[in-house]
Amino acid sequence: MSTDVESVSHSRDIALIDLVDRLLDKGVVLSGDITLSVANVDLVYVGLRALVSSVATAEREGVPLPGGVT
Amino acid sequence: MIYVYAITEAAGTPLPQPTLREVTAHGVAVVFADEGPGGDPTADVLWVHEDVVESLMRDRAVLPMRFGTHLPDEEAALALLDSRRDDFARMLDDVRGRVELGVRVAGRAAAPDQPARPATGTEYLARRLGARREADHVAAAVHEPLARIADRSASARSPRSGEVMTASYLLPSERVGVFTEEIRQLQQRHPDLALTCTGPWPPYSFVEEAPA
Repeated sequence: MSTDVESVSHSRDIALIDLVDRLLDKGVVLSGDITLSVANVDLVYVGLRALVSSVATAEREGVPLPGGVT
Repeated sequence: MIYVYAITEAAGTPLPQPTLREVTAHGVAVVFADEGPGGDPTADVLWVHEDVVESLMRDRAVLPMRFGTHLPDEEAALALLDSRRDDFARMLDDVRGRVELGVRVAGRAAAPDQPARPATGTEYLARRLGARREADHVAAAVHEPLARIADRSASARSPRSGEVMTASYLLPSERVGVFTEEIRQLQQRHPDLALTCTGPWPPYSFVEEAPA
């Protein structure tokens, strides 16, 4: 978050849901003959969606999110 | 394998972090590192990724990648620039100087005398209709004034449970103050709604390509 916009939420807890939505569900996706690990992440995201409201709690307690990519 | 953070304009400025490298062709760069921010997409790892992309955004137009994007090597990155240069140039033009803001709108808690589960099919349908009307009402009351300030907007296909609207707006960075002031006024005007605005984000929701 840029620091010159005081009025926009800077709380990373509040922004975490929006971060997950963007990084795992949006952004440029390469396709064709390019090697990806995105396919794995998509699978992880299925699990994340249901858990998204508890992500902040998991983070506070240092619990890694389930279904991590290896 | 290399881990790709973003496609950017070839700015000719130094990269913001020592582990980052880039290959450039046709005025466009692929910015990558030999290793990603970490394997599991935990909150910390996602924030590390985000911080890299935001640091790139400070002095160049950026197309953020989906988290977890790898390419085999630098040659593959160059081949990507060769094959998609028109696409990337057009998308960079669309987002240059602009940021994304996220807006989520939730309704306040339901009336306390309403049972948690509908008793009949008719009641269920009435509730569905009510929810639909509320969504239309919010779109008119909240989305339209925000969309007028923004250059582009994108709505989530299905808002999360409890939310009546989830949307993203792309706007010039210098208009962020006007946008957040509008959010403040909308919140005052609609005490029955809870508005959350986050950002500025890299333009994640505005980098979809035209259909091939």
